[in-house]
Amino acid sequence: MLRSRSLLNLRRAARVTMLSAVAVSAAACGPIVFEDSTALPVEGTPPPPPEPEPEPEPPKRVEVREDKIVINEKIQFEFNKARILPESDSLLAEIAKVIKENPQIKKIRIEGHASSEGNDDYNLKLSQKRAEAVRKWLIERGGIPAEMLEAKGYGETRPIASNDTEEGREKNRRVEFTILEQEVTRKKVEIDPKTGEEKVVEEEKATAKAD
Amino acid sequence: MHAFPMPLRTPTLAALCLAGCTFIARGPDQYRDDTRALLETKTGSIQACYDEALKQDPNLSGTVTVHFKVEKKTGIIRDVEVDPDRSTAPSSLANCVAKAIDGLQLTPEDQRDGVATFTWKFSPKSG
Repeated sequence: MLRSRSLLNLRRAARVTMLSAVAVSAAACGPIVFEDSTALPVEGTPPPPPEPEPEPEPPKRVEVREDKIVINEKIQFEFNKARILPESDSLLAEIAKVIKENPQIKKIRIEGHASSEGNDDYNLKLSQKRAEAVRKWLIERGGIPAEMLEAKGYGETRPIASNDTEEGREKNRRVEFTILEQEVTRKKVEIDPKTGEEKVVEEEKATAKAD
Repeated sequence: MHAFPMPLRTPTLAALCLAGCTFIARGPDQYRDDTRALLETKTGSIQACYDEALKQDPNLSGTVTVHFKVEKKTGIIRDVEVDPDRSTAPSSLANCVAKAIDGLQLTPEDQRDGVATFTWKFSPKSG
């Protein structure tokens, strides 16, 4: 009897001990809540400022386009006369420079045009004189061979804008440069199928004439 | 009535307990420091998140606070959540940070879950 009681007590004690151990163990396995008191620092690198857009090139005053030498500025003449104003000297110098830089150009016609204001004959003569004044300037001051240049006045016969407005008439008063003859090079090329490089197999030079 | 079924005698209970608690048991400070060190391994990725955000706004600065759990026995960071009330950086940056740390693994694993809160402070390099 006594023995069985002792055994029972031992079992109870063991059970209590184990329950306590489980309780302690459960508490030890509970979550741990924590927060860092100092923030993790991150330093970033801002992107470099964008490169400034390159300044657009100012439009060229003088350009060679197919059979024309286009001037994006007007040659200024004294009112009702064929005398070129000094402010146009730099423009004419640039025209001479462009002609020299393009040795393929062989012959140019300087064309004078007028608005419909005034007498037709007078306008025709004035535009002729103005074209000749430009030719003279290019030969004497620009160093262009005389045989390269011819001058022709068209008066009011070839308007490019309406003569009903001052703006249109101003556009019609102009000097144009038409390339009458220029040397062109025709090239026949073959593409190497292996390298993809172009190879000139035939080259022919010819003179193109405007109508 | 027994607290445990009869087959679960004392030796079995002891074995179970031991099996359940064989991982490291960090104190709160150690748990925090080890987790911080783990998070710092992702500084590069988080900096990349920030650099990307700086492309939109070169003067961007602010904080991102996240809550997450370090899973016991695996050490894996799970349930990463941005705390919008404590974050001043844009949500795109905050989400990028959360994504960067999600799934990191703390080693050695701890026997207890860690419920953590961490904050990153973002500022552009001066000069």
